[in-house]
Amino acid sequence: MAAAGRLLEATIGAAGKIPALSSALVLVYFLAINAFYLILLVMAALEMAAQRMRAEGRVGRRLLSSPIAPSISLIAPAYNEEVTVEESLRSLLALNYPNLEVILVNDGSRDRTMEVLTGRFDLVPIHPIFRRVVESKPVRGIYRSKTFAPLVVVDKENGGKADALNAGLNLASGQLVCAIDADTLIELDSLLRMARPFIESPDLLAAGGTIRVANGCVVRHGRVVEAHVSSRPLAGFQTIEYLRAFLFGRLGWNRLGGNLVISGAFGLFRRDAVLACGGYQHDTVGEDMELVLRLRARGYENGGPSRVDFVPDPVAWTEVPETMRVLGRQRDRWHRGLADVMWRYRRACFNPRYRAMGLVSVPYFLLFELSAPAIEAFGLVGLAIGIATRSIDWAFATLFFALAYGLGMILTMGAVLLEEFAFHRYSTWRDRALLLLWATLENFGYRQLTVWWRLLGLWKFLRGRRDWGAMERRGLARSAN
Amino acid sequence: MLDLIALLRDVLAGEGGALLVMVGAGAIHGAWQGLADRRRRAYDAKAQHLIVGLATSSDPADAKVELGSWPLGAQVRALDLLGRSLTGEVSLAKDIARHLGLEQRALRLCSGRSWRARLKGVRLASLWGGLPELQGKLLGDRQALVRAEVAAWASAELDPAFLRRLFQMLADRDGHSRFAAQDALLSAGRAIVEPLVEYLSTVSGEAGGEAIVPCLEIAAAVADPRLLPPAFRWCGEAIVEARAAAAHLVGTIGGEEAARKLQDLLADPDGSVVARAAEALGRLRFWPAAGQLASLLRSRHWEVRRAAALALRQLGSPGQVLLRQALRDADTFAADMARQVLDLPPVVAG
Repeated sequence: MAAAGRLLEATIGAAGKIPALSSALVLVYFLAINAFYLILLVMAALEMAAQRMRAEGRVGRRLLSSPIAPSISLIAPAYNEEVTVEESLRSLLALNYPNLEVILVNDGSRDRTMEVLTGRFDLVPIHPIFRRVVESKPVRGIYRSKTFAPLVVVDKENGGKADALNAGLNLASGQLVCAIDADTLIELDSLLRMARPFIESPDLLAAGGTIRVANGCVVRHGRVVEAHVSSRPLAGFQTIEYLRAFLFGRLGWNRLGGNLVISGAFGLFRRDAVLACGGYQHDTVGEDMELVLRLRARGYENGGPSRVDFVPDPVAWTEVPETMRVLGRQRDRWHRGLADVMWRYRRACFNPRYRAMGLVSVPYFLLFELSAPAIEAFGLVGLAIGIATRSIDWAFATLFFALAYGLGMILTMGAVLLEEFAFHRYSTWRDRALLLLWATLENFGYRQLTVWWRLLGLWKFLRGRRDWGAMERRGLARSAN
Repeated sequence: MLDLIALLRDVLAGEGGALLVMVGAGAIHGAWQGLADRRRRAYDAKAQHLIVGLATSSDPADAKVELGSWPLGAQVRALDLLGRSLTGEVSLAKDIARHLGLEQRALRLCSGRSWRARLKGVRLASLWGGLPELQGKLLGDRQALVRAEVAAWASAELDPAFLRRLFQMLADRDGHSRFAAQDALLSAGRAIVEPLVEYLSTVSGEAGGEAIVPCLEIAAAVADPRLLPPAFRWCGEAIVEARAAAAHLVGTIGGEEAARKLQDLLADPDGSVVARAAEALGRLRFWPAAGQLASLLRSRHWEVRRAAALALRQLGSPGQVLLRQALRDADTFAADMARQVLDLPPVVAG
């Protein structure tokens, strides 16, 4: 009994130290992460000014009609898209670019996707001679449209997105390949804007464009014709997240060691570089990030090019989840993907051989992206224990949390201001008010939820889960109304 | 601890202030941008009306008077719109720019010390075809963006010295400038043939460097018979990429002499050169090369096998016979490529 009493005392004593420990850890972490974010924001503003200076002028405009513009193969995987495939494909075929090839890969759809394509685009079978450089599931047929010359349709057995992209890569003839989701809405001039940095820098391996949230926008014929902020909270919070992630996160990285992420919904790559490193990996849920890291790591290891940039002005719109269940699954998958990629490329962390990528980008992603939910959760648990053991200084804790969220708000407002000054896409007062509202409210509940989902992802990764989970969409036509 | 709390309070107050400033800045910018958009739309509509007037009447005097009362930004946009709408009306645009004082402004900016000012000046002058008096100096500008924008003046100005500078610019360290120079030369059309012949005939591989291949590509786009002798010269040079580009150029010009040269290139030690020569022979339908092409089906290079097989297919009956024979070839690579090409439907050829 006495021993049990001593054990209880020791446990309470140890628990009493947790708040102090967690406070110190959270404080250090807080200072480090926010200092880095502020640096990113400043870098993003400088990079934005420089990119806008380059984007203007006659040379950029000449790309539109120049016969020497690099050829682009746009690869769009489609799975069970019978309802949307025609409109999506028509909008892709209407993109402004002189040397464009559109490859739609039907990834073994079980619905009428292939019938719709054959009927609406007048497809005829072709037998091109191409090399299977990267592995993919067997191709059942390749078709070319009689009415739309740049369109090629690949019908293959189901193998997932990475597999479909690999099948498209084998067939692509462009110098550059653009990987997109079939339901991504790309703005008319986006490919022209995205090709520009490849002309400027022969050592550029890949470039990513901005992804914006289409929920709440007016969409006609596969184009966003009026940009609005969604009045639904979940979509609104994600609009803020996307602005923050793209306009100051990825843009700032151009000057701080280069990007590690190119969104799978819209990215442009040098085809020969992707083929040389083996295409997309099938056995990861973070295939976009994995490819970028592999390309860059290969460059550093072989002394070749290793640059991956973010370009802010090419814009693609995507529909984001509007239910907690689907959003939770998406975030859990993203975090599992991040964990998987970080584990695969752990050799690069703090390794000077990988220069800025190894010394800045990978450590940042490991410490501030991958570990963030665990550290935040640790802080919250410390807080709970502190309240239970009455060892917490309430005044300090309240002020600290207010300060942390205030700084988060400043960073978010920085991204919103970058958008307002540089692009001015959300032009009504209602939209601006909604941006401000969602930027304020996301701190109360939504951010904590994302911590939970990412923790789940981390837990599932540790237990070896590799599945994707289903994405349900409301459909953009409805959100337009 | 009390001091720490006071410090946190001060920082929090600072954060609040910063947030208010940011929200205020966003709101002011939004309001200003809304007004500016409305003004711009109004001036753009007026500009379109003026351009329709200029297109239908020969006297630009009224337009000049009207434009003179507009703000600078609206004048520049109107001139830009004029350039895009009335192609070839360079002299009219120049005349209006001079009247509005924009030419003087561009000259002043282009002579400035800041590269941003020079870039602004060059972009302004691009609206009426450039400033011939400054183009030589600006093509050698330290800033690549300035050089690239000046290259775009070439479509309006075809001075031989300027064109020679553009050929040199094809080896510029900056990709933007290289693209602008290559594009400008391509849009200049046949006017560049003589300078191109001179450049390709005289420049050495070392001096030309990276400019050689784009030059040969430009030559292939022009495909003038006068370019054949320099093309032959580059078919024998040591630079592999130049030989491949020269093979393509020879194929686009065509003729008996060209075909014989391409036949010689089928024995080149580099696969990319052989592939380009085979493609060209297929395009020229030069059936005397059928035997050589058939033997290339056994090449270890996939590109060479593919080019040879497709070329045989383009030769018609003689090529088809050789492809059928290759189906029974002991070399499995040759047999496989022949089967793939013979499997093609009659019209579509990969």
